[in-house]
Amino acid sequence: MTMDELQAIRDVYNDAAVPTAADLADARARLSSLTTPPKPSPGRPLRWAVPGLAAAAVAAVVLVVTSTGGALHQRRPQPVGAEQILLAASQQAARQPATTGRYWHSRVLGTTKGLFVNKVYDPKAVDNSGTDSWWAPSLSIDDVIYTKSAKLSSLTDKQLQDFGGMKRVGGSWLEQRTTGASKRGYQQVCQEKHETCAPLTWKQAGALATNRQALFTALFWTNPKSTTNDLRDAFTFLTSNPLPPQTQAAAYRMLATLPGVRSEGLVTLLGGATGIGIGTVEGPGVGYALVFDKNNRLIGDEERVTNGAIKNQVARHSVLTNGWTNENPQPPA
Amino acid sequence: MPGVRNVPYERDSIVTVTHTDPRSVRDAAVMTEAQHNPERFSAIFDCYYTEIFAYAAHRIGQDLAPDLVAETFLAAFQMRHRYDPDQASVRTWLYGIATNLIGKQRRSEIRALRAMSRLEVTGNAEGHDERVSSQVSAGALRASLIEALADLSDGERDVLLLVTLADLSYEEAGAALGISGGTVGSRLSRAKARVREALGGTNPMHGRGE
Repeated sequence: MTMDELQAIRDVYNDAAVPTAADLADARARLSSLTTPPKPSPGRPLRWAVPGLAAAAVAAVVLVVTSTGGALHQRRPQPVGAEQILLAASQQAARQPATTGRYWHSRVLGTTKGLFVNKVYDPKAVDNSGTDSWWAPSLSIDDVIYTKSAKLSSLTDKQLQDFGGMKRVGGSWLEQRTTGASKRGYQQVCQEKHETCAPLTWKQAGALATNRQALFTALFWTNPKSTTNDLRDAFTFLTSNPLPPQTQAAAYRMLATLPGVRSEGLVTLLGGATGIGIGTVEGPGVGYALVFDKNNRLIGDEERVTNGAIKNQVARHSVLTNGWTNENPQPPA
Repeated sequence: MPGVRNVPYERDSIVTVTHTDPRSVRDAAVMTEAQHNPERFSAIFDCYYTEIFAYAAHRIGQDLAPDLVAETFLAAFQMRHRYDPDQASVRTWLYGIATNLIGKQRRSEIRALRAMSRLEVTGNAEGHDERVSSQVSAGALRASLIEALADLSDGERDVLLLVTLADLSYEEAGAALGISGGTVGSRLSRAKARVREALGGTNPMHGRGE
């Protein structure tokens, strides 16, 4: 083939083919989710995070908490044991109707008291954060996540765009949209690598109910393994994925087998709701508990850290919504 | 890793690389670092994303390219421990991964080619006789050329487009696809015959019939 003929073929393809800024940001964020070590977070893992920004944003909400002096540790154990409550939560979950909908809607609001402000720890500083997630099991429907936190709000529009394509949608809420095409590509890569990636597809989530090893992998992903990390992972897992009742039930059963988990007494969440904390305290001074209401439903979590200069840092999250809806995504009021 | 600053890493102009040219050597060093410091892989992404994107977009269309290219770099990152600088440069290796992924979307590629063909037929109706450059001639035969490309075997089209669009040498195309130089040559030879046949035995730069 002559060079002229090669040129003829090149001319066929001579139209401009350049990625948009959104294409580039999306690809970079997807890569960053693999190249950046996972950060433990009480909320949904920031898998679109950009290195550096991710650390900064997560640092604003991650609870750096506590020592053996924490309130969790000081609470007197309740008569009902943690294992019983978790098994009751499993039974409660299994009794839910096996309905579905257009979106799995999860709204989790949180507040953190005690933050680093300009690298100086301020025990009185408060950050009100939240995630309002609309997960569509269908790979042809966009997922939409609304997020707010003080740190994210302080970023420029450009930084937000780089931070996984976030944009302001009014008030302090930011919108992050994952297109169906991106979901399909992401799931395909995960499938080819024989990995289960969050958010789970509905089929994957259903399969976990009967595959203990796969459930373990999906439920506890943070390393190093510890009961605190496992419980924190579980909170995210249970509030960030469309999960069939039997999978939820299996997850609670697995939680019931964790070592060192005990009843930590009553915990008061946002708005005054109270529940029983089921958790643990691990040295030096990190306490974490899942919070269940009287009907054994997961309604929130609490985390405390006291570590050196950090005193009395506490964060609580309330699960306000966690289930199916046929409504369309809209920013929280 | 957090706290590790990436060394500035500027992209060189597109040239045919050998395993000893500075860029290949530098890429190989980055890949070695990335095995222990995953964030270093971002330098590879920064250097080649746009180039691989253009290649993918040309082959499967602008709509499907973003996902495929993202997958290409995700796969490359996952397989970074298996990268062998003695077998191929990083650039060649990335083209190989992208081509393999395109291979899973053959139908999309054919659809894209057909769409290009239809687009050109429509466009020719108004401005055909105004074209004076070499691109004019190629444009006049574009539809038939595209049909020929679509009719090539997958392997033949991979080789042909790696050589023409990615400017890979025969040796590099072979490395990208994991085939021998001889196989590259034979596939190119067959592709050449098919394309020439589609062009009516003419040189498209000189117009039909010359």
